Amino acid sequence: MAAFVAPPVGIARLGLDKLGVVVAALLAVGAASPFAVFRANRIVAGEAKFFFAALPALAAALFALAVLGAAAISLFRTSARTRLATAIVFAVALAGLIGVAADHLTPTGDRYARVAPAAGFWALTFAGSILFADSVVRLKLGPLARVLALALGAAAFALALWSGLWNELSILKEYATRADVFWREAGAHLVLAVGSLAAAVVVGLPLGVLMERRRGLRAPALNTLNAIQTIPSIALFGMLIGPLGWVSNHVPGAAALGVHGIGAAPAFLALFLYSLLPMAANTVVGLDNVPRDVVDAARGMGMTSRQQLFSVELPLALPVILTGVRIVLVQNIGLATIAALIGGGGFGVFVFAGLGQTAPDLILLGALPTVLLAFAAAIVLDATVEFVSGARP
Amino acid sequence: MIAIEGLRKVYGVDVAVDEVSMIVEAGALTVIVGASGSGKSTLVRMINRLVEPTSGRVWIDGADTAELPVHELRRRIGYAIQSHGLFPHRTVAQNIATVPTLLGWDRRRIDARVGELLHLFQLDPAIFARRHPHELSGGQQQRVGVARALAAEPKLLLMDEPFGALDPLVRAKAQDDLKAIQRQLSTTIILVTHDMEEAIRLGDRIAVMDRGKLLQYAPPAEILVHPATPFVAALIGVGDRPFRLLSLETVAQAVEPGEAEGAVVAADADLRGVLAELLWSRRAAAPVAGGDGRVIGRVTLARLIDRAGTPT
Amino acid sequence: MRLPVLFAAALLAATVATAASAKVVVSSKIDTEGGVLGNVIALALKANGVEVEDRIQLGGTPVVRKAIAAGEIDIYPEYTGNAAYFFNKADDPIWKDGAKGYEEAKKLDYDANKIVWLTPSPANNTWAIALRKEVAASAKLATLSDFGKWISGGGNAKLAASAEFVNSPAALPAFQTAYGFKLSPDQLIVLSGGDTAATIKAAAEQTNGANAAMVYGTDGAIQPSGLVVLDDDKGVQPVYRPTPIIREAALQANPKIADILKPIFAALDLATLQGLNARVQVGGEPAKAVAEDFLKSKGFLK
Repeated sequence: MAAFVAPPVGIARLGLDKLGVVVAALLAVGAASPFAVFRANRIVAGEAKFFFAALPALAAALFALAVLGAAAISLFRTSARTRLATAIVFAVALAGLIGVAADHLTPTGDRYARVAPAAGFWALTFAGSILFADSVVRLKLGPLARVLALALGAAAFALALWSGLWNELSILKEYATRADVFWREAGAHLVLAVGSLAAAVVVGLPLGVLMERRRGLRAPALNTLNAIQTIPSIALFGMLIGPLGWVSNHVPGAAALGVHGIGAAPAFLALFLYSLLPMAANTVVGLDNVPRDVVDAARGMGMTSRQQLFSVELPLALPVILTGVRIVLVQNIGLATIAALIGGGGFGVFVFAGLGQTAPDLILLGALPTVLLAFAAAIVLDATVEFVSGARP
Repeated sequence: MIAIEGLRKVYGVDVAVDEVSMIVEAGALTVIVGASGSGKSTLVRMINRLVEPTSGRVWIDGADTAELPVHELRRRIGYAIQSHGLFPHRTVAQNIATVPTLLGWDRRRIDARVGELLHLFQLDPAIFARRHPHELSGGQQQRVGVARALAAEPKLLLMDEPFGALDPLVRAKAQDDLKAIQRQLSTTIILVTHDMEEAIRLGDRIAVMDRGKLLQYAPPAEILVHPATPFVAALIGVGDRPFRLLSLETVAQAVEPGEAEGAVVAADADLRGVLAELLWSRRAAAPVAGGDGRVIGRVTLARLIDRAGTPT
Repeated sequence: MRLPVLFAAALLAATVATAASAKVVVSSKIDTEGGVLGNVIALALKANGVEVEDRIQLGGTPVVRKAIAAGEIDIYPEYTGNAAYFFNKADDPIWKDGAKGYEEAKKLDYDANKIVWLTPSPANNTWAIALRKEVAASAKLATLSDFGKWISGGGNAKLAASAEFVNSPAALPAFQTAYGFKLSPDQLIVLSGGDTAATIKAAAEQTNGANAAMVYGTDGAIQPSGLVVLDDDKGVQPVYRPTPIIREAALQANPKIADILKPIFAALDLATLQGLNARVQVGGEPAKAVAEDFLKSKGFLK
């Protein structure tokens, strides 16, 4: 009798979490898709393997349990902490299981076989990331907590790598055959990305200050920097080869200092040029946003222009300037990949070598570290910006 | 002693300040009053050279301000503005310590001075010294702003609409506090406002400006009774004149022997307040109590009416 | 104030420059074969007491040419046929002769850039057509002449090739003219990129019925994919022999380099090179290990 008049049934009335429905759907799709792909050697096409074929019996059961558990918890209204814990456990399970699958599918002693994660694995990872990110947002973790979480995640990742859990995965096999070159190029990539950032800060920040002080300079400078920004990266890298080559040959000492027509020098210069606009523009905006009465008070109290700048204006503009740094660093980490095209080294070496050999795992060996680096840089810098803005209203 | 001679500021074709000359006595609280656009802020900002005069001179204690290095000049003059301009990223103590730090005082002297000023402005250092401006109320921020202006013991304090952002109750208290502090420290104060009431309440002398020109420079009573131009008269407001005049005097100046009924009024109360009290309590007279609380006489409505009118 | 700084800089430059001249900078192109040959050169030189700096797999052909012209690298493996493009003599028939093409390249590059072409390898890494082993075996095809006759006689071939290969007058049309056959449009599968790994894969898996692929002569994936290269017996394509090329200055500083590399490159015939490339491309072994293995197996390394 009570159910005679059916109440309107919305998702919320059922006690379901709206985002959780999406996550659960993704998990279902992921579980129903191939978990891993097996290739007899590096260049033949692969065979897709579903989770029950890719994993030994116990692991397959664990897999099913993990997916069902994660789906259940995300589907219903559970606390943010539970969801976060679930996401972490699920990530750990997934990471372990793909290693097990690679082990299981590779015939013993076969050096040619390649096992890589397939669409199902990526869908499950994506679902897990959504759950993780959503619960982090719901928990409103502060900047310090987020950086700590990143550090812990990185440590866990490093531990997994070191333990050999993933050694049978194709991407790590690519790594194994060129480990020393990998670290060399990693170093080169960092030098390019971070070095050009440092140079851009050294030049761009004062430039931004100048642009803010002198009205007449602002428009032409901004227009020039904007124009540089529109040059396609590969074109700019190429354009610099000629002039730098000339400098290298005709300016004494330039070659000894490392200025060459190809290689890291034009890549560095191009990255530096691309970083100038965000740095200078953000500095200008940051300084503009300092309240005028604060600047007036500082002047009126007898601070010199320099004292005003360093004691009042720059500290108050810092959050916006740091945002500029964040933009540049993440941009440069990605853009430095192209340096490999002109002999500048970096992770791009693997991307382009992989493209030339149609070895997707080699491409991934170059692309994945780049993405992870950019991701980590974004988290750390965002946390820094938030931390620095904390003292302000 | 500040001497302003023929100060003039021109922006293109716009004359913001037009040949203003005046002498400000040391230790006096001078209020410059006028409508917005009258040039009063510009005038004051030419004293500490935030605006450079087109022509004219300013002498402070005999020294021509144009000759001094501008930063040194400003460090010796206190400067408090309406929106107080407190540094959001610094604590209250650090804000107040700004000019002493610029002048190179040693740490201990600065700390002592900060504590002294916080006490003076009734802000408990234990609570307020380490707070940031956004953690203070509007009134507290305004007080810190003035404290900061006084930190380096300047002989001259410039204030540009310092109480404009306060609500009326807080504003009245802040004004009284300022007068008390000024008397205590003997600082020369030049204060800019558009509020005539405030000018009369605070000023030892008032300078009335309109469209860049100095119309009248005189003590409040003089301005009330003998406004120099119709504009000054309009600024005072016909409706408020008698009451403003009364507000300038205290009961002590109007007390007469005799008795009266009802609640006592203090000898140092201002006559305007007493008039309000008499009207409200429907009395024709009230007893007056001296400092020790003993009745010393009475004040009558008739006497008040007499003192509220144009001097004969 | 300027002078001491300039002096210090000059001194630094001189020190760095003299230190650099003792070392030989070994480079190569970014592809698989470049990695193998570059490592072969580097390891061989090192074993014979030459100090080597590794800049192997630097970039594509233009990058490497610019680098050697600028003196930033000293030695890298180039192909004889490429000289046609460096010196704008693409139409000259001399490139179709292996020996003559080598001599021409050697002369041109030395005259223009003081770059010395050392002893070449006999392998020819040029455009070719590869056929599935069983098809070639059953029709007894070994050369392109055989292939031409077989096609004209109604043989069933389906070729996976790039658009450039199909349309460029120097490629398929040249083959067809020389060997007297013509592939109809439904005997062709045209891929957009020039990637031979894709064409080889198509023929290996018989995608859309493909049983022949456009290849480069020394591609590593040929053998493991069950294909065999048909011999260009009439010499239609320019010959691309891998040759170590070195800046004259570097060679004068280390003259024994020529003698070290001569027998090594002579031993790198087509089959050997294919095998080495296969180990890297298909087996995923590191180029350095493969190069070392080769040198050891031939006794060039202890």
